Amino acid sequence: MTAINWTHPSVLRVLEQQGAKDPLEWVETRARDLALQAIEQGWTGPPYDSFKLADALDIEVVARQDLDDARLVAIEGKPRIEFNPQRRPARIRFSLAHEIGHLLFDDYADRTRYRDMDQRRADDWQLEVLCNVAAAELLMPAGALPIGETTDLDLVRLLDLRAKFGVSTEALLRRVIRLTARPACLFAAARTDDGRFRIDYTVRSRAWTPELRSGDVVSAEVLARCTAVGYADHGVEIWDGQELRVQAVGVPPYPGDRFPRVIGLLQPASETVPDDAGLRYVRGDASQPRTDGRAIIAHVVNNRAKRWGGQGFARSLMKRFPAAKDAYADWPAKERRLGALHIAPAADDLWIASLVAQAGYGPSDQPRLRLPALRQCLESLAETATSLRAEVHMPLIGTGQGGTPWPKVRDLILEELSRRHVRVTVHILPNALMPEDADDSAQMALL
Amino acid sequence: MVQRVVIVVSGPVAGGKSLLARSLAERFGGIRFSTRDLLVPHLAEGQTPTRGTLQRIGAELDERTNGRWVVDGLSRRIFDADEEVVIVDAARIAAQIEGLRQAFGRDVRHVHVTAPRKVCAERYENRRSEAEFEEAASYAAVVADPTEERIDDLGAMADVAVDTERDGPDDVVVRVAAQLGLLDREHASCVDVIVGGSYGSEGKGNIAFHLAPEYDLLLRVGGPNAAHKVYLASGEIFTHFSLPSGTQAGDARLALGPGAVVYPPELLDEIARCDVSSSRLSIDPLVMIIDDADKAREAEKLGGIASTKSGTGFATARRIMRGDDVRLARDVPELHPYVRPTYEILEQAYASRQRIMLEGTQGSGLSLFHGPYPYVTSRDTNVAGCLAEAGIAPSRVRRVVLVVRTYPIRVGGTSGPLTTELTWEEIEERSGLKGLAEKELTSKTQRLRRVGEPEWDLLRRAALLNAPTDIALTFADYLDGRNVEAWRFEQLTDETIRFIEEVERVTGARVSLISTGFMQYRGIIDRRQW
Repeated sequence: MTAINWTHPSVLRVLEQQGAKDPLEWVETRARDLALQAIEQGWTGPPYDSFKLADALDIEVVARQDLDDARLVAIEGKPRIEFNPQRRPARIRFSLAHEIGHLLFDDYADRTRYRDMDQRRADDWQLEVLCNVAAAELLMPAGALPIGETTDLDLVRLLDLRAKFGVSTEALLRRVIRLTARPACLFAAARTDDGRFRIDYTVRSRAWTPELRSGDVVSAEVLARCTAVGYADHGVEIWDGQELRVQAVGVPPYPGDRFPRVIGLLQPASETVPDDAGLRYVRGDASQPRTDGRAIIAHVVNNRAKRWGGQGFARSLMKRFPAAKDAYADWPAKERRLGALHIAPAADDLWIASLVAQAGYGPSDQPRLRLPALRQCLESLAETATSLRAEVHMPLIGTGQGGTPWPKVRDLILEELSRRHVRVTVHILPNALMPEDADDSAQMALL
Repeated sequence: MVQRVVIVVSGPVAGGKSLLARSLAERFGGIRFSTRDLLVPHLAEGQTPTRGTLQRIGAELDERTNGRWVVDGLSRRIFDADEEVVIVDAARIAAQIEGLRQAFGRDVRHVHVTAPRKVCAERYENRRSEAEFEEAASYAAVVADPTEERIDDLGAMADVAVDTERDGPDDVVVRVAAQLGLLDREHASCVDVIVGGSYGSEGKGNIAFHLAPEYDLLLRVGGPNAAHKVYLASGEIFTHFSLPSGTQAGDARLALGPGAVVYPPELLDEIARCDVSSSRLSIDPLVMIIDDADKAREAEKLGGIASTKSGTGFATARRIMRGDDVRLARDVPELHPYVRPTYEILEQAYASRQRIMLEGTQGSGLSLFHGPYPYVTSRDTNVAGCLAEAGIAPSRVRRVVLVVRTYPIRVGGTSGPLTTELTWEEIEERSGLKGLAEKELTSKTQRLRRVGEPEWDLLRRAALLNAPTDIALTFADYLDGRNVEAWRFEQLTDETIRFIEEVERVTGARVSLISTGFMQYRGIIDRRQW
């Protein structure tokens, strides 16, 4: 996916030691889990306060005027962020999140990253790009973006959001692409000497099919017009024989380059939103999914109870699929830890997936749903659903006893399941209220 | 309370509403909200927006909410707008305007723009090709809508009503803005100018960098034959050739005035290195472009005097000849994102009472008109010349800061007379400083500078030409190295204080800024009373 030729030692370490294939995806996932943990500890936004995040992670934060922005240093083996307090608030929020991103690289202490000329490496920018991506994950946790699956991908409006969240354009668009049900493709490109553009990498939305390879060189007038950072333009162009709606914006150049990099969105020139992409909401009972093909019914369980609970959705599952209930009860307790997934056959072409994402049960003043665990469960569920070629049906998981606002859960579902082309249907009981989320026209239609 | 004006526009289709709303937003730093955006979510699944369907949906909503849908939809978006000018495009019935008045009270200004129906019909057909959605078959079909039919009734209740028949688009904006009180009519003095008082290399960059955080807009004129050095907080030395020296001192807007001359490859590199965005920097469409041929011809023709050979002079000469080989900023596609008229930027700044700094280049003694010809540069370097190049009226000037070196320098080579030439060794001996000969290279050409005794006559002429309100005295450490340790005025050596008194007597202005050394931090003693 990525045409970036990773050379930076810190990045290579990640590739070797963590078994990561794509550093961008690796850093995204790590940062997402970090944010989800912090949210569970009561971290709220937007804007999400980076200082509180640093506190939660036990990082000392020190102000000093002689820095351009901020840096992460190790003082007696402990991380410390130093930052310039005279920058604009949004910039400081971002810089702090960016430095927290550096913490994801366990060799951060080996080199003081400072604008010290003789210590700088020509490929330091690679690490900076990754930490910008991490910062975005920290500043836009799941559920934070007011982007529905069918929101029009108008670049100019998306750039307004960027200001609100104080993240880089690149990071914002990466997120949007993962959420949208529309066929769209994010690309990052750099100008070549002859005024054409080399595609550095692409990220496809789940509904996007055309092949655009990184390393390709394209001539594009829209891109050529973006000669300044922040300048956005659009038009319809033929790329590789396909008529596309091209939107692009200039973003800061690679160090030493004269012209900005260009990132943007490609969409089919005549676009229809496929109705089977991503999340469908129906009024009904998830324990009775109506489908011709294979289906997995997903529900959240807690890590303490040996059996499915005696109320709510689990109760109707219990009644309907006793064999699956018994299979779960036979599951060894030591495997029943947060983040684990249990799959039990329930009928022909039907399975029950139990997501261990709730810590304990009973009344609690904190949500019992554990978002990092839920993300892990959903990731495993995506794998299972793909190999079984099954679609997933579920109730509004996590919102009942789990006590978590639906948009947070929904974004995780979009990013872990829908993005991997797993079709998900959410069943809302006929007499239940819609979750609070007026952004989705699909939901509005049900009202 | 927020200081905000909510402008609501009404008028017939093709009467000029959206153009006015967009221009007002652009010229006065406002934000435009479109009522059409509120209608789109009401389209049925798969329904495409057309003039007809949107008119119908609007009418239904008017019926159902008595016009309140506009204020209800907009108020939740307007309330956290940062902009002081909010433009609502557009209202179609009186009730919608009433709703806005209820919500925003005295801050609402209702503007009605209209034109004879025949004219609107003509404009409607002319703009059909760039319509954002499917338009009606004919203007007659548009007007058949009952709401549209009565639209001119709103003219009677408007705060401002303009018939646009005979106006160009810019004329309409000016007329409306004037009636809304958006134009600055006070002509307040809000521009501070920094000019050099010697033969250049006075350290203007550092003074500009020190003052920059106090300003909202930084302008530069002149060409890349001047290099302005600044010392960043990080200790890095950065040399500016075209952008204002305060670029990295904060986030003020930046502008290059119409009289400026630029060499695009170097300018674009400088923009990239300073991480400047297109929304922050404006380059006037009339800025002159240096071509490679200008550089080559200067190298060949100006051999006789020490010039930077940057092409600035030849480009300026070509501009005056108005040949068909002249390229201006508006002709360079790479600069397109930055190209905006300086007068619009200035008008915005005047209207919102912003502070403006104009940074001149070179020194008074290098002026094409007032220096020792031919050892001069290709423009007038004094305050009047800088104002002319920026397009700023003289009465706008508030402070004039004349930057003066203790010992004047000239660039190396055949660069014209110095009254009493010295050597750097002599200055080292007098001040106790070391290594000046290594340090005193010109920013642009990296040649060793020539140095001479203080020239009081040159200083007096600079004072006459610029009538400074303040003097910034630089290189106080060259008088005596101990001045590097001075953090307050009274810590300067007695001889330095006597020197400063003499500068004040000769110039008639107070020496309110004293630069005591190259150090980036606290290297300037600031005794300004403004």
